[in-house]
Amino acid sequence: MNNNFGYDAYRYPDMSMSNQNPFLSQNDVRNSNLAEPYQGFLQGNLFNDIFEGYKNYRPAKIVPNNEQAELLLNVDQLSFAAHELNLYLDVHPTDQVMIQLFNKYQAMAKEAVEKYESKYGPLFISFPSGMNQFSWEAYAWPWEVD
Amino acid sequence: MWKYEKRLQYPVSIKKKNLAFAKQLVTQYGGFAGELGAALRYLNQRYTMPDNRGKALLTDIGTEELAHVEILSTMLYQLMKGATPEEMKEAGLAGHYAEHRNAIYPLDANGVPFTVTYFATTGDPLADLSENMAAEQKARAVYESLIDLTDDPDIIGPLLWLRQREIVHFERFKELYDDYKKNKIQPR
Repeated sequence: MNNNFGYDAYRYPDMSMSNQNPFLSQNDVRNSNLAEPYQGFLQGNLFNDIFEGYKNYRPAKIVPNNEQAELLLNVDQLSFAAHELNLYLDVHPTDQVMIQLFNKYQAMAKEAVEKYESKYGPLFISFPSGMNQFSWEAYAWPWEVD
Repeated sequence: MWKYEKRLQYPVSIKKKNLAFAKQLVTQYGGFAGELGAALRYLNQRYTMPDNRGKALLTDIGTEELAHVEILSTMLYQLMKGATPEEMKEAGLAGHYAEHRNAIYPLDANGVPFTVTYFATTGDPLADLSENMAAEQKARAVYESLIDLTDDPDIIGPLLWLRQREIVHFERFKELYDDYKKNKIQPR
């Protein structure tokens, strides 16, 4: 399930273009310290002000090669954005702006999961199984490349 | 309790078998600065945190570290997949093959097995949080050494990403540490 993407450490995303993600508009993130979910996910850090690069490496760009990989990338990035805000809110639980954004990304992540699961099988055991085969077992496991 | 989510937190697809690198990378699975030690340490420390912020942060970072264990495990599995006994022997992994064949096993880069002392828990919130801050820095440094040791983009991508997570976790632990210190939050 994870082999349908490519990343290349020598092809870098353009940091100035925060609107590469077709699922989000640029107005979604008003706090300039926060990256868009796609960029935040690629760089492993939603908070631009604490991002620290290593040498001259830039984060790898993940390029989905088919619809399944694209839907999974959407789950990955929105879940990541929500998780980053989760960790922040654990320490700063009364930050209203971040709570709103957390709720928004959580809802979007949930939608992305449902969209993926309806076409490509369960990400969670709570997804109802098909009648003829146990869906949880039937689809590839994430560490398999072929 | 926990629920499994059937995806990696960050995708891994290593196409080139590389036993020599697997032998070094394994330290971030089972070594002193590895993800397994981090996950279990945070989840072990959380019970005696003095307030809900500490309990929440250690639960959530500890849980994320389990996802990092899975990323590391996947990398190791893919690096060793299909290696023959002869190839294992040539790479200095005859001992590994004898005991574990092509399975993954938590060790450091010098073959020292994972040890429970990596749990490092004192029950003192300031001591435990500063332990964790140091652990995140050590893991960041080891990821940098590992990046220096390879030129495979399939390996560098996930390592850069995991390295960045250490930086974020350090920041959150530090914020909580500074707050506990400033407000003289007492151990429970």
